[in-house]
Amino acid sequence: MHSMSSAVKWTLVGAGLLGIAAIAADNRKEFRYTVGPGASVTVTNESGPVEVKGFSGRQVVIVATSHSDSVEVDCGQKGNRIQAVTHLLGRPEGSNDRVEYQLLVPPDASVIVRAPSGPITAEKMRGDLTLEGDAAAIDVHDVRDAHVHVRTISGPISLGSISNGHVEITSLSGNVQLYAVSGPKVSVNTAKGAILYNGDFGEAGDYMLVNHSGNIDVTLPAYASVDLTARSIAGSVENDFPLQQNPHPTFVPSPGRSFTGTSNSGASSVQLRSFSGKIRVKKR
Amino acid sequence: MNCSQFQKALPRIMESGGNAEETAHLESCVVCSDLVQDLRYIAESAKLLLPMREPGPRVWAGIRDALEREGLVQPPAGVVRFRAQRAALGPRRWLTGASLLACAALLLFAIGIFWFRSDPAHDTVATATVPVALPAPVDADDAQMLSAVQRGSPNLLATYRDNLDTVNAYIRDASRTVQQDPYDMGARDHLLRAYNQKALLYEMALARSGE
Amino acid sequence: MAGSGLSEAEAIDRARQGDPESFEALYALHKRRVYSLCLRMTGNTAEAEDLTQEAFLQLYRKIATFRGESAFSTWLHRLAVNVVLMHLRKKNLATVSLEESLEPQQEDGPKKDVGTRDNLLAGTIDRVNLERAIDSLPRGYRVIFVLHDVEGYEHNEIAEMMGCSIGNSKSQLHKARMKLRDFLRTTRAEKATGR
Repeated sequence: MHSMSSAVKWTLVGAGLLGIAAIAADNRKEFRYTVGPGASVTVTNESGPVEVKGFSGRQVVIVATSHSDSVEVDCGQKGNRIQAVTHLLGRPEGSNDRVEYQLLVPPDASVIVRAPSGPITAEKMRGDLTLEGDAAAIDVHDVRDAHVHVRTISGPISLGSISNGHVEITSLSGNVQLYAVSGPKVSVNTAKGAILYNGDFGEAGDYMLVNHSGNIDVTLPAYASVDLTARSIAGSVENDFPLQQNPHPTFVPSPGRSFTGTSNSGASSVQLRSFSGKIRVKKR
Repeated sequence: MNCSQFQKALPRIMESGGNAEETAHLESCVVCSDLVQDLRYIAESAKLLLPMREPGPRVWAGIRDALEREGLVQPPAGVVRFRAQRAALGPRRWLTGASLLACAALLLFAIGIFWFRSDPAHDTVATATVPVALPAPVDADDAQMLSAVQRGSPNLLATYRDNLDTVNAYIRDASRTVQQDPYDMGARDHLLRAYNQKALLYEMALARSGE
Repeated sequence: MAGSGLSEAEAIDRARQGDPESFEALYALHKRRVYSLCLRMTGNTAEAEDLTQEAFLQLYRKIATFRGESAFSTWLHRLAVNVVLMHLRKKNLATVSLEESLEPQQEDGPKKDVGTRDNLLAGTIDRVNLERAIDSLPRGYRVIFVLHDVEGYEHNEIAEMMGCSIGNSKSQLHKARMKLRDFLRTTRAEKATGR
């Protein structure tokens, strides 16, 4: 029975996988999986950073480095789905429970990361990203043709060079910074967090930046083609960007509290809404 | 094809793949196959090298001095301080509790009730004043959620408490404005978003408890 | 940016106006990556620190020209790479110049045998050993390897930066990897024999 169970065990490890190497060196574990197009990778890490990078090829490489025996890293593959989970085996031991994940994934893979303390970084991806961290700082760069969903409670969020996908950002008090982010739909919601956007609102998209009490700062180039509306119910608005008056505005602008207008052909719809924060629009 | 010929073509093969003859040799020759695997492994491992090292303090000191010398910065009135990095948060236990799910559902129910009672109207600009304050919603549930956070993840209690205050303030502000002008679609939109944010707070706590 | 209250975009804007806090914020955000790049390419901590300092000074001098066509980090990274390459070109002490080290070299005779089959390296490399192995590379190979495999530049970009051909870049990269393989296998063998 012992030999049977060993045989079964090794068969399970080898079945469906090519080139896998899972060797623990000190507290470092490395896992490799071969996947087909459109693979899905999920990482759940209670404490520590998670880095994801798109890398050509059809392998998913996961390197997990832990620093104590009170955590266990559990990685597995089911078909085209890869899952990595950190399990806490005993009582929390503070920073010793930290596990650092580094992932190389095919760019077209969709990736889900849940890491409350983070930070979480993702770059060079062409597959959908869903990133979630309570206090995690989240940084996403160089993503095209894919949806990006990010949620934090207080963690700051930074996006750069994102295009041609839906972008949905939600944070309660984390600041959100978008640099060269465009797509058919870009939505940012915070309560207290500031929202900074520097880009051209391209791709004839639908942009909605909304917060409660943080400021919204937008910088855009003169060539941006936007139909822009800004309104702060109890705060203020400032505009330093040339806009043509809308012939049929959806509301009556109120000086200092709201303004609306178009630039160039008004291809993209841009709505800036704050309850009591300051909205500032500047020309780059 | 022999090993020498294959290895001579290896720089090209590694970058863009081999022709049929080269592929056949790779499949049949364990020495070359091992070599290719090793080289690929080295390349992949390199990608995982993090920027781990920090320059010594003299680097910033030199930069600062040069910036001042060249007049690229104004002489600081105070001390140019390094903001402390946010302290790393310790690990947290995932919360459990069907009651948390019930709270999230209650919030969404409250949104539905509010929306059902209101009449849609034109969007107008509202002036924020201070009308009668509506009671902060679900206080008992908030206390229960914070207690659960305190039990499971005491390190995050302050974060959750602060953000609960933040989102409750959002709800109160938006509620006041809507009460003053029920036809203000912008304020109603803010109120809906505020409730959604509170639901997110509960959901973030609840989502981990099930794992 | 965590802790500073300044976003990167805000820090860049303020830095253009000479705000010292924003300079420091940008430095804090990017120092590790720039320094690690300089160190890996030069293999020398003192040189790397000097080059890091120079890269950031150039950044601050040129920040007004940053147009946002690429991500700021990408722009800074390319600037740092150029600073290092300029330094390596000027530094021609007793070492072969970078370009010379990249010229097509006399090929060794085709290898008839690369040794008997041995255990694969897969799964045995840790970060420390790999960093050590990279440090051991001759400068020209190290630069190409760091630029391509560590930092992710493509061969056409490397060729443009280094003033060499794409074929040369590929060839030198391959040699770098071969040398790393030899170093890592030797290290592993020494460990196994307890040396």
